[in-house]
Amino acid sequence: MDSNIASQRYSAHLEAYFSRPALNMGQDIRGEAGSERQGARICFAADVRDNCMHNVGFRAFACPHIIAGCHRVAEQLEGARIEALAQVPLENLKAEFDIPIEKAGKLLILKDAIDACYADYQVRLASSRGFPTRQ
Amino acid sequence: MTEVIYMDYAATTPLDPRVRDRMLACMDHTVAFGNPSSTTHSFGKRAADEVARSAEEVASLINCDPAELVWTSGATESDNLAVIGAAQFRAMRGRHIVTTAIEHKAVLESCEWLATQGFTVTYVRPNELGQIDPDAIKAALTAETSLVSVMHANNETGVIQDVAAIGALCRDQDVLFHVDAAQSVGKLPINVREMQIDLLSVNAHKACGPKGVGALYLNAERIRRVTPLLFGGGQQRGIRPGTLPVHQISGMGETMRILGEEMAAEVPRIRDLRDRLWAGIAGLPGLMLNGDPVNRLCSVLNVSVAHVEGESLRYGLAGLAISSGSACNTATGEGSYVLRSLGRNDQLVESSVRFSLGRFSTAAEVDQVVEIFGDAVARLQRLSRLDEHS
Repeated sequence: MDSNIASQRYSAHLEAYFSRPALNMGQDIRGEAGSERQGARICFAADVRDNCMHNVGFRAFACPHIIAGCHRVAEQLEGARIEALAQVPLENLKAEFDIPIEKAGKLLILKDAIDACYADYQVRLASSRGFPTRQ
Repeated sequence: MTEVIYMDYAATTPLDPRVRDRMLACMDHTVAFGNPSSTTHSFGKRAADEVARSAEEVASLINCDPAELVWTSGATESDNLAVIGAAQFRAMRGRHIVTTAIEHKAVLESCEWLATQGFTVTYVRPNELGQIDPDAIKAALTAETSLVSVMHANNETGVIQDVAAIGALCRDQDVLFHVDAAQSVGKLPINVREMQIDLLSVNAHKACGPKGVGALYLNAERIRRVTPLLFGGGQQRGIRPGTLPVHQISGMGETMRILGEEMAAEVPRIRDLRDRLWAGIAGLPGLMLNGDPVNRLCSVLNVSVAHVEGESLRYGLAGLAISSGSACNTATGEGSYVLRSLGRNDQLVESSVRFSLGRFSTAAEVDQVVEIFGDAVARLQRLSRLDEHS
């Protein structure tokens, strides 16, 4: 067994994001990627109003780096135009949370979940459901 | 800053002040600093007397003759010396070793080394509760088997093996029987005669004694010596040469003396604390106990949490000094082979946590651990619940 479970490898910045409470998730669009077997399973969801995202939230089975990254992405996307889903900068996340290279695969799962969210938006947009303009 | 709660007694333990005091006395220039082999003067004689006193104390706890003990640097060396030394010494008798898949690496890697020297090794697997079936050991014996090595209690799960039954069948087949008792000494009664154990590894630092000292019991009627791993000096009949560290040995003697006196009261006290901890967390969703729920050490509680990511769980528990079965900090990258042997999958191995309590553990600490662990698990489970919408 590995002894002494400590937090040596995590920054205070990461700690601040990791420790945030779970966010409420919107219901208009949703994208999921990964699996427990892959070491990360992430789902993003949001409401869409006037082409902008609200209630951007996520659920994640993931390591602290990726959970902190998810919180950061959700924060950045809140209120942003829907096109922002296609422009989430992974490199910035890597630098911001000092995400080690061995977690590059999990970071891609995060990206896949966001991409799936955007794809869901496009599918819904093309379908008869669409997105009502809300007040 | 909140103080970290120590519940990692199966890894090592704080030194008991009584042990420290006796060790310090040995290091005083007026007491027992001499070389115990230099019995031509009073300094050496005092040191030799202290070593003899300590040997009596260790022997008393496991019911052997003090002359049957060899001092070592700890249980790892004792295991190495027992497995490699006995196998090599009895190589003419046969070159087959039987052990289990859940032994400490000190035994497993000794066996792996023997395999490179032409020995064959059979690894008996446990059942899903971590128990080794004595009949499985018996079935693994061949005419070539010279040694069986089975730990008394597992270091990760605390599961206790039926070493008396295995000892009986080994004796019946005239096979040497080694037991690693690093975790069990002072927590379980050990009687090497009744249990028909031929070699027994013990140490001090798992029982509030000093690190860096241990002993190997060699049944004088069954195996008078083993092939040494160290050479030079001739001390300890050449089995383990080197000047004896009197202060360390004295600390081990005091450790065993205290265990002998206090074990009857301490074991139920620690078991109550362990059970209080289990009662506090057992209701958490997805929690699984690893190992036999009944036949395990009073001090160990090993659990896994379903659908919670291991690294995040460990991070959430940073206020606790505990152990995990994760591979993230090991060089092997394989995770806990013990939990894998019990059939646990990657996720459950990664999210496993071992709490181990000991002499200085308190009910207040247990209650704090229940709260911290419960909060961390609940938070991560909420975060990972993908079927939830808002």
